[in-house]
Amino acid sequence: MKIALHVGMTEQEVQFSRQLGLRYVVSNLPANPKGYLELDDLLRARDFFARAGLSFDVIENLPVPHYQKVMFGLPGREEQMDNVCTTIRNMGITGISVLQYQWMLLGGLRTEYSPTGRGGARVSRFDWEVAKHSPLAALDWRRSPEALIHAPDRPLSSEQVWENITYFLQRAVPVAEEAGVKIAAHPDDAPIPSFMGVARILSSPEGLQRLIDTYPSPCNGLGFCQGTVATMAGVDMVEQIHRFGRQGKIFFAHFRNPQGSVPRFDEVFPDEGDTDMVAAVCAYREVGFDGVIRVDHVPGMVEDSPHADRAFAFQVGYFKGLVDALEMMDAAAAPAKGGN
Amino acid sequence: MRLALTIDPLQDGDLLFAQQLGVQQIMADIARWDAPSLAAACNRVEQASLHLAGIENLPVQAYACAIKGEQGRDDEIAQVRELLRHMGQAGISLLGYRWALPGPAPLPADGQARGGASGTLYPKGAPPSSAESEGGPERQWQNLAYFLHAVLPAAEEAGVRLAYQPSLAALAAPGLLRHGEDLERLFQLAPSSFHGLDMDHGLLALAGEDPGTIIRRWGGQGRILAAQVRSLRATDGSYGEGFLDEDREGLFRALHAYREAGFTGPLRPAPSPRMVGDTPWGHKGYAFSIGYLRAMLQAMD
Repeated sequence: MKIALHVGMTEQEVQFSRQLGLRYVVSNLPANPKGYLELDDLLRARDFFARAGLSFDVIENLPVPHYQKVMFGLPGREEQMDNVCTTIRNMGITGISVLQYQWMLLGGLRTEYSPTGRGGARVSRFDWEVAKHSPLAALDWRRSPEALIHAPDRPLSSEQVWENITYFLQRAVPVAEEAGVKIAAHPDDAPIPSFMGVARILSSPEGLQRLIDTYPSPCNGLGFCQGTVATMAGVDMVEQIHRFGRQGKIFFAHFRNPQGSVPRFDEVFPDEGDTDMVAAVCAYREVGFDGVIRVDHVPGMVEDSPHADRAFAFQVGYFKGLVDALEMMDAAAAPAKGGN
Repeated sequence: MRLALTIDPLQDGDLLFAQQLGVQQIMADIARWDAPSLAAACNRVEQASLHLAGIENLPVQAYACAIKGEQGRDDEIAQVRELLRHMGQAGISLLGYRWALPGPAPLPADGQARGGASGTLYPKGAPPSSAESEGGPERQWQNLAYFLHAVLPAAEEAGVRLAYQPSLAALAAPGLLRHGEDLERLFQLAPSSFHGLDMDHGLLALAGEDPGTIIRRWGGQGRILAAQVRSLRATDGSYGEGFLDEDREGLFRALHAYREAGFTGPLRPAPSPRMVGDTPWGHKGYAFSIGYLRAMLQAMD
């Protein structure tokens, strides 16, 4: 399993990954005023990681300012799509094989970040009731509402949003096929059907399937955020690994184990969430998933570093422990090799 | 088995850290041996919803004469008996001990572990410890017998178990208790049910033993009171400590054996190599180790 952390281009972060025994990284490049990711920047990033023995295979994410007009179906979207295509071509030249993007028009949604977790760890929470009563507060904490080019009080129906993403796929996927790049859609987190009148179309397994079927191509698929899928109401996440994995549509995945689901969930430590993580790792193995899987959101631990190194070290250790144990149980079960 | 961490000295931030990692038990070194200090340590740990499983290590200075069979050992033994009584009063039920003087000093090891982390390296074939120069292994066995016969009755009375701890120092300078058959002798010498092992499968493997067999054998008899896990490798001139997953096969087999043997005591990771930007105690390294162990145990369930 190709386990990775999201890593910035600093010596310290790269070293941390290496010490944890990782060989892959996921990273992003900042939004560029030119509107696309430049070849030189991509090459520089790839080589920086390669020098540390790390393979840079996934960009997470396509910077939102590069395609925001496409998301909202606004004038200027053609030019933005030209630029997105340039990004994809440049990635192809660089050999970075997966581009994750998301279609959360108002961003990710959380309502709380409080010391309610195990041992008083800070845990991020989504509570739909709270979000309904204080919608602006539930918007992605990394983006202020003023930065949105689309006022959240103007509704956008699900069919309008589908129209916009269909245009995106029609333009991007053929270029991706040519460039040998897979484009991977991240589901809407929190997975509720709409927020402030704006539809969230990738908030259910049916939505994810429709995205795949909208433009059938080996380059059109999912950034399978396990935590988001697990918090979709009434959805068995492990079943979805089988469903989308068997179709070969999991291009990239996120490893996380929340407690609860819509209308309310908490992002707790990976060993105490609702998902049977042993079954999840078994499922990835069974469907032959060979992409990168990134260790995702972690609780805030006591005296942790700004990058939450302690919590990520725990989560990487946990993930590796599952993978290693299952591999060795298989080896022990193989008759030729014997048990102890 | 219960996941545990060794914390020394006890600090509230570290207890909270342990709790957040989902650890259940703490092993600690406690500098003051009077009953109120031990009770205070116990309370502090319990306030963090954790259990103080035991005192990690009897400091070697406290029984150096006993190890060497020198005059003064009776005074040391009286102190240890006193400690055991106080531990019993405070409700701390496990005390680790070794039977080797401090071994050779670790080598400077900057950046030799994975990803440039700094793991501890111990020199191989170091000069024999002074305990050995005091008459060789038979004399050491006699000294150990003298100590245990004097101390174990107090342990029994106090309800505290004594756990023999193999040490890397003993491995680097071969002496007592590095081989499987030595454990037979240890328990023939002192068969009390208040006497057992603080097991370290990595050391046994380096000594050429099969840890699984030894764990099943003694664990099945309830002699394994605590366990420490680590990843050790022998290089040309030294023994080095690595990250737990670097010896995943050895660890997996050991955990499997502990489960089969019905081991229920504290299981704690040894320190990892020092990671980038980590604290001297090694919070990031311990977080990694505890996550790794938790997952392996869950996968085996």
